This record gives sequence, structure tokens and C-alpha cells, in this order.
Amino acid sequence: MIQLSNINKQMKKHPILTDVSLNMEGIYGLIGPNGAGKTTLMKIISSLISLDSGGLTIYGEDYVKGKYVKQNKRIGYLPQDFMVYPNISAEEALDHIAMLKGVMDKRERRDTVNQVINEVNLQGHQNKKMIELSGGMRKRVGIAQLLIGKPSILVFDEPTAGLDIEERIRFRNLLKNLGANHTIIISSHIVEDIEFLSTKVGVLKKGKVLFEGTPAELKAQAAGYVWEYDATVEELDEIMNHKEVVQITEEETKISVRVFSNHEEKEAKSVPPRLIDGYLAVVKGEDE
Amino acid sequence: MKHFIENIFLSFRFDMKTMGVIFFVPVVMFAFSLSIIVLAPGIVDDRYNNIVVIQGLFIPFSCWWILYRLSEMYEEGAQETLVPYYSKRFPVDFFRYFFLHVIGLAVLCSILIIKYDASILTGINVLHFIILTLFYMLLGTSLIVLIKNVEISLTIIMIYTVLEVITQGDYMPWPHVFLFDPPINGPFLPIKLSVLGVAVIVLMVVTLIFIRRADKKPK
Ligand SMILES: Nc1ncnc2c1ncn2[C@@H]1O[C@H](COP(=O)(O)OP(=O)(O)O)[C@@H](O)[C@H]1O
Ligand SMILES: [Mg+2]
Repeated sequence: MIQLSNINKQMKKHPILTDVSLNMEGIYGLIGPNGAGKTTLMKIISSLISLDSGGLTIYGEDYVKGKYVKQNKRIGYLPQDFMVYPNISAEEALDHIAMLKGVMDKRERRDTVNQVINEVNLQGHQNKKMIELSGGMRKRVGIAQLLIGKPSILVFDEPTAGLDIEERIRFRNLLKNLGANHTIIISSHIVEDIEFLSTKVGVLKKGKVLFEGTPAELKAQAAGYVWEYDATVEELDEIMNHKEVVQITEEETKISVRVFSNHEEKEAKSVPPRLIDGYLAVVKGEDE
Repeated sequence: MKHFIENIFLSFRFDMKTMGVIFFVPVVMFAFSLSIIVLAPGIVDDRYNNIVVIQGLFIPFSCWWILYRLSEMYEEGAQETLVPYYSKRFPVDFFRYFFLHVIGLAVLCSILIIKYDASILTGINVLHFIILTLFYMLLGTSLIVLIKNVEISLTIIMIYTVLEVITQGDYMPWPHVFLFDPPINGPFLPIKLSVLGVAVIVLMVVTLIFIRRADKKPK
């Protein structure tokens, strides 16, 4: 459990994070629109950038020292893009990184590298050059190099950004597996990415925490606000012009249109909200 | 100790793999300097030009390897993942390249002494070579940690070097680091060596401070 209390951060006199307090645990999804401050917060947690004020504890132990979160081996951070040593193979890169991380014995290093390659399912790709690997595979190398140091908390910034659908699904499974014995914090601006994966979510916008709780609790934020119309093509235009449409699904004989509304929609039926609805309710509420 | 030697060996192999042909540029410059010294006509008046060749051609390339090694820290995602580890590794890399260059210097100096005689080199020259090597290596590391771009850093170093050599250390309003004339005792020599020594210390501090600055990355 990582507890953040009242974290503030300014850059160039602009507030980037304002009184951010969160309790991160399990597989934690940090969601929010672009520019919300997710990357900034994750970098602060990972001791990469300074904070102006606030606290961070891990299982009760204080980790803030001066203007930074203390350098430590518990937290491993994977940036959005990981493309190091383009001209050598994934295995050679991992071997070198293991040496940088202090694994000096050659045989021990080979064992460690093989182990992390297995852990992230990179078998069969370890001899390809970094530049030849797909985005998803490169992310795996990124995670593998983190695992060399055996951190217990993994911080992944937008890990599914730039991956195709197939890679996304495989990656999700990998995260789920890693979640069995690590605390994982993942950020995303796409709610679907963390759905079915996170055990807890935090919503950040313009540097402020708008919500924190379980996915079910986030869904509940939109309870009573989501309505579904069964529309024809002609009606669709009308609805789109006058209502706040969140989703359109084409079915065999009709188009089902989900709209957001805080008063009763007479011609529509009230439907149970999904995670995205809860997220939108929280994020939109802030605009008004 | 066995691990250490093995790792140094592996590090050089790793350099060759990641840098490719670029790795051999300082080697070529060494061979070039060596052939100039060997093939020079050996006229008494021109003797000191050999020492200028070492200063202006061989020593500036001492920054090459460490520059390229450090430049990999500015690849996509490395700043956030490798730099904390790399800054601990930095001294090892620095000294293995420094050591290699000192060997190169020793070879060139020996050739000079064999070809001419021991009087061509003074202790001051040798000391100056070594400090100048440190100066160039640290100038390189300072530039790369500040600019985070290897091409621009190298260009600055090369322009500086060419300007210094062409103007023989006159005109330009910055401290001059070369010895274009045989060192003679006087106030001028200790001043020059002190300037160089101070520059080395300042550049070392700059390197060590900025090597870790992940949040100062220019966009
Ligand atoms: N180095 C910086 N200097 C000034 N502003 C920055 C810097 N980095 C990020 N920001 C600003 O901080 C805000 C949050 O950025 P970021 O943490 O990257 O958001 P997110 O990851 O949620 O998209 C943005 O408005 C961005 O413009
Ligand atoms: Mg971001």
C-alpha cells in the first residue's frame, strides 16, 4: 500500500498537481485525460522528479526525503517509451542492464536474464535487435529490465498506448499475472484499458483527484444518469444534436444510443452504468 | 577481481557492438597521429609540431567513447530507467577510456623519444598531456549531460579545437589549453596549468551534477 498525502507540484509557476492524496494498492488504475498530471505523479513516485510538498509512505514507512521520494529498490518505473540500445539484441541489452544494476557474476547474470525473459513471455524474441521488436515486445523488455531489480511495486505509464488490439489483450494478461505478486500502478487516458484489470482506480484531472475507489464505486457515480434509446437512423441525428451521447451501438434492427442525462428521459430506458459512464460522470461534473 | 577484469573486457565488447564502426574513430586518430610522427621529416626546427599533433589531433578524441556511451542515456526511456544505475557505473567507464588513452599517449611519447631523443619531451609536457586528456574527456561529458545530444557536443568540441589550433591560442577570448611552444619556466606556465586544472575540476562537478537530472530534460 502506497499512501500519497497532499502532494503538490508546480512547474514553471503552473500548478501541475494540487493536494493529491491517494491510497494505491492491488492493480491500481490511474486514469484521467491528457495533461491531467498522471506522468508527473508517477515520476514523483519513482524518485525521478521532485515534489514541492506532500508525503509518501509505503506500508507506513516514510519515503520522502527533502524534495524527492527516496531512491529505493522497491519501486520500478516503466516510461511510456522504452527504446534503448537499438542495435543490440534484447538479451544483450538485458545482460548489460543487469550489469549496470550490479549483477557482476556472468553466470548469475545469465540466469537472471533468462528468468526475467520467461517472466514477461519474451521467449523466442530475445535474439532480435531492439529496433526490430514490436512496440509490445519492447515494453516487455522494459518490464523485464525492471524485474531484474526485483521491485515489489511496478509503475507503468500508459503501458498499452501504441499497442494494437491483439498486443493489448496479451499485455493485459501479462499485467494480470504480474499483479499476483506485485503492486502495480498503471496510468491511462482510456478507461477500457484498465477495465477488468484494476482492483482500484483513481481519477485525476488538471492535477486534482476527482475520485478514488473500486471500479464498482466508480460505475455507481453514474447510476441514474445513463439512458438508452432505441433509435432509427433518422432519430439518431436528432438525439445527437440535443443530448449528450456517450455511446452508439448498431444492432440488427435498430441503433442503441446511450445518453447521459441528469433528468428523466421519457422515451428511453434507464440502464446500469458502465465504468466509462462513471468516469465521464466524474470528469464532466468537474467542467460544470 | 576476476569479475572486474571480465566486466571490463565485456564492456569493451559491448561498446563495439553498440557503437559499430564509430568505436574505431579514436583508434584511427591514434594511427593517424602515429604515422604523422613517424613519417615527419624530423627537421630540428619542426620538432615541436609533433607535440602539437598529439595535443590537437590525438587528445581531443579522448572524449569520443565516453560521449557515445553517455549519449545512450538520452535514448527513449533510458533517462527514467537507466540513469540512476548508470551514474554509478560512470566512473568505471570514464577510467577505462582514460586508461586506454594514457596508453596511447605513452606509445606516442615513446615513439617521439626513440625518433628524436629524450630532450624533446619535458615532464611538463607529459603532465600537460594527461591533464589535457582529462580536460577533453570532461568537456565532452559536461556537454553531453547539458545538451543531451552527441552530434552537437562533438561539433562544439571540434570547432573549439580547430579554432585553438589555427589561431595558435591567440585572439579568442577564452582560456587557452594548448602548449604551442616548448615550455619554458616563467609565470606563464603555472598559470596555464592552473587554468587547465581548475577547468578540469569545474567540468567534473558539472558532469556529476547534471548526469542525474532527469527532470531537466529540454523538450
Ligand atoms: N517539464 C514541464 N514543464 C512545464 N510543464 C510541464 C512539464 N511537464 C509536463 N508539464 C505540464 O504538466 C501537465 C501534466 O502533464 P503530464 O503529467 O504529462 O500529464 P498526463 O501524463 O496526465 O498526460 C501538462 O499540462 C503539461 O503541459
Ligand atoms: Mg502522460
